[in-house]
Formats: sequence, structure tokens, C-alpha cells
Amino acid sequence: MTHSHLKMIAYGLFIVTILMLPMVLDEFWLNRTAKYLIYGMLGVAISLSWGYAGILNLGQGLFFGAGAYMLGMSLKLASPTSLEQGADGPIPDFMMWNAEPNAIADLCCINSGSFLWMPFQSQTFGLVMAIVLPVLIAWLVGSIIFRKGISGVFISIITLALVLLVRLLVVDAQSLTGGFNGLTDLAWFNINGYEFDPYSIATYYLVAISLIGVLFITRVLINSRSGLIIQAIRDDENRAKYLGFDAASYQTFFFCVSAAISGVAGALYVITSEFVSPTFLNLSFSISIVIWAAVGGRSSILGACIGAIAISMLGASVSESEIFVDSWEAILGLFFVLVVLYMPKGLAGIAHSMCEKFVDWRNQKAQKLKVGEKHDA
Amino acid sequence: MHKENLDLYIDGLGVNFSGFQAVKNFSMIVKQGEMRVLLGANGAGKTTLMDMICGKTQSTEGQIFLGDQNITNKAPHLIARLGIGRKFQIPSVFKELTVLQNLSVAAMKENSVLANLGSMKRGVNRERLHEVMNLTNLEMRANDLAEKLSHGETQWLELAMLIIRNPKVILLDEPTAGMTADETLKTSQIMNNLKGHHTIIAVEHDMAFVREIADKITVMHQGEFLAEGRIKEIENNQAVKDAYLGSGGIA
Repeated sequence: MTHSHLKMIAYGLFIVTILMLPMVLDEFWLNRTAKYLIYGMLGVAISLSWGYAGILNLGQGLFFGAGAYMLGMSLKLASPTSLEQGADGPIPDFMMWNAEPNAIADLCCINSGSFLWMPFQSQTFGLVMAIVLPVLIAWLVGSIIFRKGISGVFISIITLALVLLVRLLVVDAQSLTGGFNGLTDLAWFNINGYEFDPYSIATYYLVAISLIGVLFITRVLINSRSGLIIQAIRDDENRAKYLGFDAASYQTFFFCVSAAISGVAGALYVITSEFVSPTFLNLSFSISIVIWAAVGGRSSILGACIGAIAISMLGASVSESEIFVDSWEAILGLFFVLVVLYMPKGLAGIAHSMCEKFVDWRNQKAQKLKVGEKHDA
Repeated sequence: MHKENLDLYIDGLGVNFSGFQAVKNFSMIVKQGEMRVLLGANGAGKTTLMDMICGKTQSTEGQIFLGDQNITNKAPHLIARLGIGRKFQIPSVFKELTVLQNLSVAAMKENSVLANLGSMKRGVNRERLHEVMNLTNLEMRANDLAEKLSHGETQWLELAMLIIRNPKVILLDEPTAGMTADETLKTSQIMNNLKGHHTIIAVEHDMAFVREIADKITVMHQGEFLAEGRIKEIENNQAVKDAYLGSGGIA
């Protein structure tokens, strides 16, 4: 038995567990757990960009939010309230509330910019954009900052500023985005007429299987040659450059993949929660994602994923009790500091070293056995 | 048969760091397969010269050619792809990867991110990898993390990464700095193995080592070309003696 066998076992256990959960959970908990799995997906995304590519993105919520808004717009237009505004086509209710008195009640021109919503009448368009927009943003931002050779803490500052900026714009453009309220009262996601009830087993499996898919793709990526090269770039960007690798294109690529995963997570979140909110773009949310990955272990895809699931689950449970409702964030912050100080590789790092000890112990035992056999002979 | 010209030409090269002229009007030709050592006191511009050849520092005057190809001020990764490898003074390796992984990165046949999305089994020049590991005494450490290596081994690992890429020109900045006598000896063996296969330009202070490896020596002084020749000629050169007077000579 080797270390990679144990890793496979860990993945297997995790996948079997999330696939079996519907057998023991009721509707309410199924829906909740689906959300935690989505956070797990964000853990995977940040582990890929931070742990493997060395890009500490403090604005991961931007990609999550972009994905959520894109699918949310489609689901908003498909909702009964949008269809019942007395116009020929669907119009979101908040657009009516924000419209000028004699504006034409049509998506094309009820507000300035409302025409941008028109293609979102197709749910497929919204779904595709939920991946395309985050990737496009990541590509633009990545091309600029990585080409300019910006690295380390400056990337974090730029991404942090960016998510705050976008949040301001989204809240400000109330007639286009629903402002502070975000998008509420959404239709159910549907594929070929099948509607995904957020509280159904079908929706849970949609999320669980997406997560498994994301884990699989991420593993294939980091086990590829590019996956090794991006880790090399993380360790020493200059060395990689002077071997002939264009570091910026590698960083941009993995930044985009991380954004795509976050976009998918955002879209799935809308499907399970039936709302989109500018709070997705809050700094505290983006920071939470980083904390999940740090505690779980940023250089372990599965570790970061489980970290995200466990902490958000724990957070949701304890903040329901009166003692913790105000103090949870402080406790989480303290926990984060302790993890960074004393277990830089997170819980996965501890599991990793325990596995190594176990493998060593088994090998030693096997050797002793062999020696014993020889002795007997 | 037409043989590709891979000599390195440096013509009137200079750099001005906002007022400070670190290198000025420097010219030299290094023939293909030659082993050239750069000598000079601290601040003579040796490292800056190497930085300009590999694209780390943008020159402000003059030109650099590898054969017919003008490589002046190109992006570092493009210069590297044209066949110029650089070893840094402070050994830089990928610390959180194993020795084998470090070398695998160097042994990639493709450069671009999309071309490298395939599995590790393909697209890596394995034969070369093991050949070079033997040459640099790293076979035993293949599965150790690079951060666990001794200083000398780290230097060899960086050198091995360069050699795997089979560059036409290798730039070495103090390859024996901080090495024990034993390690220095091994390094000079590695270097002598490379001689003739690659053009090598090295900055080095250890004169015993220089005697061991150098074909020809170029001496720099305060950013300028001072002298060039075989080791005996340099030792007897009046200009060199004058420049080093008071600092005890070059030996």
C-alpha cells in the first residue's frame, strides 16, 4: 500500500458518502447539504488557484457572484411574476418598479440597459454565460496582472479591490440588477421540461455529481504536465521563465479554470437557493472561502473541499444557538489564525503525515515479517 | 554540409540604470562550444551582463546575437526557448517539488500550457532525464523534496535542469559559490563533461576552479571590457595587474 492508494481511498470514501447522504437526510437537510457541497466546490477552486498556482485570490466571490447572476437572470425571466407584468414578454418586477412613468413595457427599452437581459430569456444562454462571464473576467484580469509580472500579495489586493468595486456597481445599478435585494422569486431550473425542485433529491444529485465532476477534472489537470509546471511556477516563477515557460499564460489558464469552477458553483447555488444576492460579492464571503481552504489544506484539493463543507456546516449549526450567533465569526477568525500559525498545511496536512506514518509502520511490519520468515527457514 | 552558426556575439552592449552606467560599450564573441570565464571585481558588471544576455535586464544600448538571431531585449522565456540557459547565483529550484519533478519540468518537450494538458507519461524526455541525473550525482535523491537538498546538491539540481533542456549556451553565475572543496571538484567534473557540447559562459572567483575549466578568460572592470585571453596571458596582462593593484591580484 502506498500513499497514492490512501489518497484514492479518501476520494472514494468522500464520493460514496455524498452519494449515500440522501438515504439518511430529509428534504430540508438535503437542500442545506447541497449548499455546503457547493461551498466545497469553491474550496476546490481556491485550492487550485492558491495551493497549486500560488495565486491568493481574495475576490473569489466575484466569479461565484458572476455565475449566480448570469443563471439568476434567466431564472428570473422564467418566473411567473416576470411573465405577469402585463407585457408581451417577461419583465422582472423590479424593473417595473424602477421604470419611468411612461416607459415602454418591454425588455428592450423599459430601462436603459434592460436590453442586456433579452438573450437571457433562453436558460441555456444564462447557463453558458454563468461559465463564460467568470472566465472572461479572469482572463482579462489575469492577462493584465500576470503579464505585468504582478505577484504575491499585490494580486490579493487587486482581486480584493475588484470584488468590492463590482459589488458597488451591482448595488448601484438597481434598475438592472435588483440592487440590494438582488434577484428573488426565481423559477426552478429545468432541463427539457424537467423542473429541479430545490428540495428534491434530483437537485441534490445535480449538485453532488457536478462536484464529483469538478473534483475529477481538477485532479486530471493537476496531474497533467501543465499541473506540474504551474506548481513549479508557484515555487519559483523566474526559474520557470528561464527554462522557457511563459509563466503568465500558465497562471492565466489556471486562474480561468478556478473562475469557471466558481461560476458553476454560483449557478448551482441559484438553483438550490432560489435567490441571487449582492452579498455574494461581500468581502467577508470571499475571505470565508480562503479560510475554508486554509483550514482544510490549501495544497490538497479534497482537503480544501472538505474544509469548506465542514466549516460552513459547523458555522450554520452553531450560529443557530444564541451564544454563538454573534461570536461565530470571531471564533472562526481565531481558528484561522491558529491554523495559519500551527498547521500551515491545514487538516489535510495532518492527515497526510498520519498516512505517511501509517505506510511506514506497515512497511516496517512487512519487513519484520520477511526477516522472521528468513529466520524460520 | 552547412553547419548552423551558434556563436554568441555581443556588440557594444550597455545598460544605464537611471543614471548609473553598470555596463558600457561591452563587446565579445564566444565561439560555439567554448568555455569562457568572466572575471572581475564586485560591481564589474559580470552578473548584469549575464542578466542582459538572458533577458532579465533590458539593455539600453548595443545588441546581442545568437548566430544570426537577434536576441536583444527579448522576453526571458523566448530567449530561453532559443537555447540560452541561465543558472543563478542564488540557486533557484522548485522547493516544494521532488528532485525528479524538478527535472521533469525541465524535461518537457512542449512549452505551452495547452500543449501540456496531457498526462505525465508522455511529452517528457525520460531518457535524457536519467542521463542527466547520473551526470549530476542526483540519482539517489530523486524522490526527495528539493528543499531537503544540501547547498551543493541544490546547485547541481539547477545545473541539471539547464542541461536537460540541452541549451546552446549556458550562463553560470558562480556555480561553485558556497561549495565544499569536494563539491567543487565534482562540479568541475560535471563542467568538463559538458565542454564542447554547449557554449558555456561562467562567472567565477575560485581561481583553482577557473584553471581547471576555462578555455579563455574575459576580464571586466567597472562595467567595461578590460582584457581577454588564455589564463597565462591574463595573469601577465599589465592592464589587469593595474586594475587589481592593491586588491592583491586575481590569484
